[in-house]
Order: sequence, then structure tokens, then C-alpha cells
Amino acid sequence: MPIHSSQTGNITQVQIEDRLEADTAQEFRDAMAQLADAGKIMLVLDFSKVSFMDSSGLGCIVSALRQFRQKDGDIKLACITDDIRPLIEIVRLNRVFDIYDSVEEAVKSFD
Amino acid sequence: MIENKTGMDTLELTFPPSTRYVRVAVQFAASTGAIFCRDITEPDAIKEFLSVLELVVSEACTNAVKHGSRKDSTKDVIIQIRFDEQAMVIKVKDFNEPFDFASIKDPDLENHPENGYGVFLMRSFMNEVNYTHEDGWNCITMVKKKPAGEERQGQAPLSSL
Repeated sequence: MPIHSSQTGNITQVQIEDRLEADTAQEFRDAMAQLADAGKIMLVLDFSKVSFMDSSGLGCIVSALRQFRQKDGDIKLACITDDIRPLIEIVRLNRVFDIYDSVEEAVKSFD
Repeated sequence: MIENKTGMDTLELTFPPSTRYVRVAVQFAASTGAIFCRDITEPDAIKEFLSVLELVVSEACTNAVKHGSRKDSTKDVIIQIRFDEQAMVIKVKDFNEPFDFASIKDPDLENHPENGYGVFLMRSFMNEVNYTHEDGWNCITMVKKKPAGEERQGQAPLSSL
């Protein structure tokens, strides 16, 4: 699973370039755990290149959010595509995650 | 492809019980769904239909792999798709002991659990979701009607599929 990360101050931007499903879930969990262990706990997840997500993907991002918030960090979601938005909304994750139209807006929201 | 008794086409894919093959099943469903939708003129309606189809097939097949077919099972997971002008019927089968599908509750959406969304999503996005146990196989059958405005008049009812 290609996961690219970059740093803007203390904010880490992570772009996922794959499907987020059962087969890729563990790789995503491992990547999130590595960031948390490295103290990179202010995260923007860029979904612009995620073409598909199922409930395994949902579970991953909920798990990561709990992990980061326990460390006084946070995860913001950016660039949710129309393919994924109905899934996010029907399970009401839009109530627990802050969601932004662009990565830049998500990064600024940490100010 | 198998021509069934009612003159409707049935397409079937079998795959070993591993999550690595679930996306193959999803692509199989999406390709079949694209054929089902070929007389729909609204691209957004097709896109929405196929997104839902991919999601529910992923959920059903992942459940079949993870909770259905035993680790030592040599039985493949089977996905069978039938369709006519009105609806698609997707059946996902895994060989294992029966379970109480009706007792599976919706997740607590106020507390955002990390799992337990699969059946909820199937029930939410499909017109019908049923469970049966047939000759040792757990069978999840899901029905999705063709998007509104595109249904044809005078076709056979869904129950005949």
C-alpha cells in the first residue's frame, strides 16, 4: 500500500494511494502505529487518491483516531471523494472526524 | 456463465478464502454491474450504483473469508450474480456452520466502534438482504433494484429471480 507522508511544522500529511479494505488494513494500521510511536500525532489524512474503502477501512481510521487522541493528538480527514462520502456519513464518522475539502484547510485547522 | 431455468443469466466466481482475493470478487461484481447498468443514461446514477455494489460485495466476501470458511477449509468462497432488467441478485456463499444472521445488531453509531459495520452497510444500501443455510453453505443474498426512473415496465417481479 503506497503511503506517502510529509511534514508541515508539527503537522504530518499522509496520502494513501490505494484501496482501504481488509487486505490493506494491517499495512495502514502499521503505518499509523509507526507515526504515533514517532510522536507524529497531528495528522491530516489525504483521501484524494483512495478509490475505495469498506468497513475494514472504517475500522482502521477509527482505531487510529482513538490511538492519536489518547496521545493528545488528532486526525483530520481531507479530500473525501464522492465514492467514499456516503459511507462516512451513514456510519456518522463525520461527527467524530473533522473533514475538510483540501489538505491546506485541514492543516490550517490545527492552528 | 450459466443460463438458468428462468432464462436469466447467472455469472459465478469462486475464490480461495483469503482477503487478497476479495478485490477480485469486487471487480467481478463491478464488471457485471456495468453490464446491468448499460441502458442507464445518467452517469452519476451508474457511478452510485456501482459504488454501492462494490461496497456490499466487499463486505459480504470479507465476512465469508474471515468468519465463514474455516481456516482449514478447502472450500472456496462463491459469488453468484443474476440479473434481469429490474434488479441484480448477488449471492455470496461460504462453507461453514450456520449462524444466527437475524440476531446481528446494528453497530452503536453514537460510540463509533472499530468493527461490526459490515451487515449494517449491506442492510442500509441494498433493497433486500437475506440469509439461508443450504447444504452446508452459508448464503447471503442481496438484491439491488435498478436506479429509479430506469426500471422497465411489464418485467417479471423480483421474487422470480
